[in-house]
Amino acid sequence: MHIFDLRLSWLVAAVACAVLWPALAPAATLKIAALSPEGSVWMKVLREGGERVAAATEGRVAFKFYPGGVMGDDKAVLRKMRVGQLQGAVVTSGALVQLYSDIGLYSLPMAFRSTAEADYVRQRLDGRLLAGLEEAGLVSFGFAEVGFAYAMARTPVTSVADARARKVWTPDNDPGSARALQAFGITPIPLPIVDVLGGLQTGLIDCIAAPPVGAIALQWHTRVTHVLDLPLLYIYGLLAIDKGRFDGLQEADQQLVREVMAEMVAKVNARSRRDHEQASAALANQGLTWLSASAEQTAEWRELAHQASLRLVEEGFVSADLHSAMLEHLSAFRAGS
Amino acid sequence: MLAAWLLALAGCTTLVSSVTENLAGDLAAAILENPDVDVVREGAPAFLLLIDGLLEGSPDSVALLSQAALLNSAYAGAFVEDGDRSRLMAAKAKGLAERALCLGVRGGCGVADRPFAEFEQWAATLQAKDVPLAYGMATAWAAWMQAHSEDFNAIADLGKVKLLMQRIAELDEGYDYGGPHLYLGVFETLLPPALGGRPELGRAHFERALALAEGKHLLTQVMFAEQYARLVFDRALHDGLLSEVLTAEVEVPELRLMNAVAKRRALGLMETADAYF
Repeated sequence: MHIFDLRLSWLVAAVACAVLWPALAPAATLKIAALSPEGSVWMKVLREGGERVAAATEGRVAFKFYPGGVMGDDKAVLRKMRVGQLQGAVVTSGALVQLYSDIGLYSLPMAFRSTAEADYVRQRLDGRLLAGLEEAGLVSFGFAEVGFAYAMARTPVTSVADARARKVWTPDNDPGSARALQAFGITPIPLPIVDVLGGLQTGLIDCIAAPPVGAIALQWHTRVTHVLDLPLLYIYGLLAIDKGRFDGLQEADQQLVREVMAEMVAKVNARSRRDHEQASAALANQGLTWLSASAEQTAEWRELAHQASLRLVEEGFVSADLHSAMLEHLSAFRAGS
Repeated sequence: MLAAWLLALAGCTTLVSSVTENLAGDLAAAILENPDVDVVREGAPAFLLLIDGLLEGSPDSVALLSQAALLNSAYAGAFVEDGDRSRLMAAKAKGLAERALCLGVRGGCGVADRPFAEFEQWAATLQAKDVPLAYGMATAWAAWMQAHSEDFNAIADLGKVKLLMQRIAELDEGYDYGGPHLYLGVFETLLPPALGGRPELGRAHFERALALAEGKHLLTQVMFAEQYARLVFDRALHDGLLSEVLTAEVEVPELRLMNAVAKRRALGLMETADAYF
């Protein structure tokens, strides 16, 4: 009986398709890759957005998602986007610096001292970064933060000198992080992310910089004892879609995708903020000690970070006018608060 | 004379509690051996209340506590879709398992809240005879984490649960039809390699669980498909495992309910496969 019903519905569907086909514009399926696994906030929210777009465009625009890194790492995903095998990806800002280096503006070392600073600057500069990205050929709908990375270690680390004496990890595929650490006079030990827990266990490394959500998801928190309450790096991600393909959508559909996806990314952003705060508190609940650096120690960290940022600007990693715009906004915020 | 009285009383208590434990055991069996998922979904809450009542009378019965933990966490995991309710039941199950562990395993009181290093030392002292209570704790804890998967305070416990399950696998890997490996398979397939996960290690655990279950515990194939095959986008493996579940004819009384649940879940995964892959 069930099989018969199923066949009948197939038949009806086939007939309906035949009748309706001429009236429908060919559907555009946007294939999007993500490192986030199924069930994660990003994937839940993206799927919700995809369904809304498909319904509102009557199927003219459909999204298909490839979660959990099945399309490969950032490099592989960008290559697949170039050859048209994929139309978009969810990535962290670092993945796109080759295409548009200014996208790394907020991840300059110690750019922000608090989430309030990040919010203030982002309200004023996100639009410029998104416009620049679009000129570089990628349409995006806003940024979603992951959170700040903090130094975590098996011994108390508060000063730059403390950190230099530790065996500090850096991701093996991320030269940007290695350079940032070198700016503090730290010679990091590159390891793939999967080996970090083992490295902490065997003592190959004893200090990491990681966002609390990552440290907990990967259980690194079980092998460190102290966290330095000094935001080292602002980490954020985005959904980027190939502009050529996006421009091929009907104008009204483009508008709709922009509206729906901007709402979705904002949702991920808000949710991630909550997760970041909760995970930071959870570290303390798990017995880790949050340490404060002294005023002098903090000043040294900040001065070295500032020097490193200036060098990156000199080398053209981030454009000078954007960098000074960010510094101006930060001064205004700090003067006001 | 007084001593004799005390002995008699003690004997009496033993007798009472063993009747209660038998009753609880029979109830649990009646639930787990029932292949009618809907009947259990509708009827089990009454059993759960009854067991609560029995626990009131024998709050220190390890057997009763373990049964109650098992049933509460199984019911919450398999049937309760409302988030608040499932969190509540999972927390209750974890609490019951903790009490059982505290009464039945040396040094087992309050272990869940100890720092990781201390927890690690305690786990190393576990012996083969501790496996049932330790496994009850690990599974109730995992179900509690699942129900609280949006809470980083809960996710932070994953390392401890995994460590406990690894220790159990060392002591008796065939327990509960290879259950320790089934859980370890799930733990290793929560994240893709790019984010630090080790799915291939998960696959090895799932395969070991399959070998130990000898095809009797269908949830093994279902979790292998849902967790591993979907994560690495291996559709052939996914569909192969699930059709094995859907066509399987196994008759293991104590797994009747779980296997019926597994078949339902397999069907659901098959129905969403086209959209996913």
